[in-house]
Formats: sequence, structure tokens, C-alpha cells
Amino acid sequence: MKGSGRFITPGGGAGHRHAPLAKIALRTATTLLLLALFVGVSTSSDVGRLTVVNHTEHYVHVIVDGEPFLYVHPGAGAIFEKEGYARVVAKVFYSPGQGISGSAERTFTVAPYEPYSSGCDWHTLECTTTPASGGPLSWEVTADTLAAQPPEGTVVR
Amino acid sequence: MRTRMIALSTFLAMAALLPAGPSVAGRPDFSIGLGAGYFLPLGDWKAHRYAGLDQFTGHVCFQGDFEVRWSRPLAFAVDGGYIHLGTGEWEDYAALYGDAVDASASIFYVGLLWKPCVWEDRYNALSLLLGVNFSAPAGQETFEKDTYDYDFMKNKVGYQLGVEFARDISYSTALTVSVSGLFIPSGVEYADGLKYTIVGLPLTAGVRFRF
Repeated sequence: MKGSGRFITPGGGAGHRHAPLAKIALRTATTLLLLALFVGVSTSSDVGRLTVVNHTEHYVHVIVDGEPFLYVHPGAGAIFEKEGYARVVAKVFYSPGQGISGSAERTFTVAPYEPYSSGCDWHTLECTTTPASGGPLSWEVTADTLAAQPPEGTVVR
Repeated sequence: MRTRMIALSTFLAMAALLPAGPSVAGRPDFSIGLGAGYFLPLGDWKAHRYAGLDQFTGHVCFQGDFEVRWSRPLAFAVDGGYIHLGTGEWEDYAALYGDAVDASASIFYVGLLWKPCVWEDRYNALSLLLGVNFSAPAGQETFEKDTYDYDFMKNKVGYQLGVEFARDISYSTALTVSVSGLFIPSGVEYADGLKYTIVGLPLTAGVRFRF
């Protein structure tokens, strides 16, 4: 019958021909989905993060490891992300043209979060524990923070 | 601005009065167009975040294209342009608060143009400009001892919509005037998520060499 091939019937001849193809497609899609999830998770877990939050009443410029985040408004934060372990210099200063000046600079070690882990070597019977490390950092910048240090120049490209 | 308008009007008058060149059928299929003019920025993207003035103002722009006439009414072109953005207002404003700011900003673009000819006679041609391009807005500022890029100016896909009028003055040369709108969605995007579409009008006059 014309058009009957479009239907997949359990136990039917056409169904037998199409079911393996459907299964293969399903398996492939599932594998790709899992792979995508794995890649996504592994990527996000390898990233260290520093958030610089502006608690002043003015706009600020934030420069972290040479990356500028300009005109961060009061109450907002600039999120810096970097893969792996890195020591970065963060500088915050009032955006120009506001009638106020001040800056602050700090060095941070950003690293991806490594959870607490423990394990035993059954050959040597030695057990070790590793405390949790890394993870997201935050620098809460206030007016006092920016008044504390004189500005220092950096060149950022 | 007034001087520029006078210059553009003079150019148009010259183009209209100059002796005309070849007929429509004789126009060669290939040409290179070069133009210069004024970029008029429009919309909120040019406004400074808190100063109450335009951080970017109109300035000179340059553009060029390589055009291939596909059929009698239709031509395609590879085009590119450079737009300089004025930052003087912002620098002056910052100076009022005792802040020495030295800024510069520009937009570079390169793309493809579809140029259907909507009207032509023996000496004149009017074409639409419908284009898509890769746009690279960029800027840099030096404030006290710090120099930083304008992180909020983003490379994006842009669009162009306009018209070009060409008047032949010889077999191989035509004077051109073009007005177009340039749109770069999310061309300005601040770190806190605020986005704007860059919108502006490049108004240019130039010359087209056919071969």
C-alpha cells in the first residue's frame, strides 16, 4: 500500500527493517549528548573565577590580568574567569569624569575548585586526604578600599 | 557639519554639471569605488553611561569596494570601510573634573554588498546597497597612567542598507554619492549586560573607476 512504509509497527516487516536504524540513531544521539555534557562539565570545572563587586556609589573600572571591565555600576560585579591555576593582578579605580579619584590593587590566585578527597593505596596501605582547594573568589570593593591606596599605572592592551 | 554639507552639495552640483560619458550599454562590468565622507552616529549606543553627553560623535569615514556587474540591473561587491569616531566631547567633559583622558575609537568593517540598480539612464545610475559585513568597533583610552581597551565594543555581524548615485564623467570614471545606514546589533555590550545596536549613517562622496 502506498505510504505504508512510513509506519513502524512492532513485529511488522517494515518495523524490523527500521528499528535497528532507529536504535543506532538513538544511541548515537545519546552518546553525543553525554559527550557534550562531559565536555561542558569538564570545561566549567577547569575554570577559576574572580568576581570584583563594586560597593561604592560610583562607577568603577576593573582590570584583571590585563582584561578590562569598564563602567561597572554601583552594586554590580565584574566576573573574571581563567582556566587552570594562575596568579592575577586585579586593579580597580573610579571611572573618570565623576569628580572622585582612588584606586586599589590586589593579587589573587585563581584556580578551579578541587573538592576534598581521600584514598588509600592498598599496596602500601597508606591513606591520604586532600583538603578542598580553589574555587570562586570575590573582592568586595568599597569606597574605603579605593581610598586606601594611591593609584599605580599599568598598561593594558 | 555645515562645512561638510556645503562640500557635499558642491560635489553634487559638479557631478550634475560635468559632461557625461558613455551610454548604459557601454559600462564595463568591473569597477573599484573609493569614497570619503562623514559618519553620523544615531541612537543610544553613542551616549556615555553617566556623563550625560555623547561619548562618540560623528567624524570622517572612508570606504571602498570592488564591484562586479552580474547582469544589467544587478551587481555584487566586496566592500570595506573605516569610520573614525569623535571622542573630543568626552575628553573635554572628563577634563572639567580634573581627569586627563585621551581616547580614540573607530569602526572597521568588511563585507559583501548586493547592489541592484533601481534606475539608470544614459549617464546616471541609482543602486540600492544591501550588505552584510563583519564589523569591528574598537576603542582605547588612557587615563592617568592606565591604558585600556574599550571592552564594551564588540566584533559582530553588521548590516548595511542604502543607496548610491553614480554619474559617469568618462568611459571609465564616475562620480558617486552614497547614503547608507549601518547597523551592528550588540556592537556595544557592557560587562553588566547592557547592550546597544550601533546605528549610523555613512554619507560619502567619491569616484568609481570602471574597467
